[in-house]
Amino acid sequence: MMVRVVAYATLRKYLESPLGEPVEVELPEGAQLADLIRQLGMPIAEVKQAFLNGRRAHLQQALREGDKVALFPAVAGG
Amino acid sequence: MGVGSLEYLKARLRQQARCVRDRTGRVVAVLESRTVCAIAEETGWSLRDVERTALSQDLVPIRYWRNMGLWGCCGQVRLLESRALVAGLGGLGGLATELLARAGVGELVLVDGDRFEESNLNRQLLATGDTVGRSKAVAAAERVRAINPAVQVIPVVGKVEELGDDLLAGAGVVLDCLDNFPSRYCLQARCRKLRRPLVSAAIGGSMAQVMTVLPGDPGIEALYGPQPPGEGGAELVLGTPPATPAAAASWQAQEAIWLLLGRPPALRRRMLCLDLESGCCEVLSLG
Repeated sequence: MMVRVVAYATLRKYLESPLGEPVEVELPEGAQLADLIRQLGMPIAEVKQAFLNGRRAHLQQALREGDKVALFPAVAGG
Repeated sequence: MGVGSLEYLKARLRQQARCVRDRTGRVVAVLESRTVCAIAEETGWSLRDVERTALSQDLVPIRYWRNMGLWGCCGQVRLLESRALVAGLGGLGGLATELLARAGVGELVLVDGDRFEESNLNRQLLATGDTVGRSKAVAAAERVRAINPAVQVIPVVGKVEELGDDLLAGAGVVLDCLDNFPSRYCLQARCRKLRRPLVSAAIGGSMAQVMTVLPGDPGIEALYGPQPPGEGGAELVLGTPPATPAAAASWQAQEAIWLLLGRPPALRRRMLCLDLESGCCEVLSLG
């Protein structure tokens, strides 16, 4: 199945998308968010916020064809 | 009718207002700042009371004229009667304070225990060659008075952890402009306990996140869990450049204004994410 992924801040470097367009990623059926993060080569401890189709998601959440994923590190600066 | 009476004040304001046409051709009765100041001095009423009284008669102090299109005289009176508390007076809080003072929020509690440092000069509106080494709260209060002397400012040189309940409880809205997780968690917990609305922003590099948390709503723990995920985040690596906090603080100030006006905020139970490098902008649901 194919999912679309955007990543922000320190996680952007794991996706090749300079203008921030969602990157399409092919995953096996039944894959979870954590599988996607591993496949992208992101250290899982660095992913502090994950959103699936615009809603807050857990790393064990199962993905479906066409899902849109947004990934963020922690951010606290002012 | 005594010089100090409300009737006299109203009459003086009507007398001194001048009628002009706005850019759509509509006639508006306006008051210049020097007129407002002179009437305050003559009658003994505070600047804020003079402005409120003027607005309640549809006489517009010129400094608020360009606000009228979005919230009108009634909204402006409501803002002048409101109090906002800004926690943290750095990149986010400096600009948020500036915008709230210009909007005409009547009372501002400005909280920061730090002094300006040279490393603040890249982004913090209130950091200048003259303010480096000075208290951020004191410098912010001076800035507000210079922008809008009708605003009552309460500078608090201290940490949010030490802030009195009375100051938080009296705020119509609280702005989280802090720069570390433990203080952000503490402020949110205290706002929840005192049932105060909170508008929180955080930045790292070119990315900003902004969310509005009303009592009972999911907040920072919806993102990171019940405990702070450390001291800081991506900003430790990507830094805090000039434009990102300004973008986030603008959203924060407008959210605070909607809340003070009693209007629905744009970012309740939602989080705005902006990236000024990729151009990405999305609003995500916090459930």
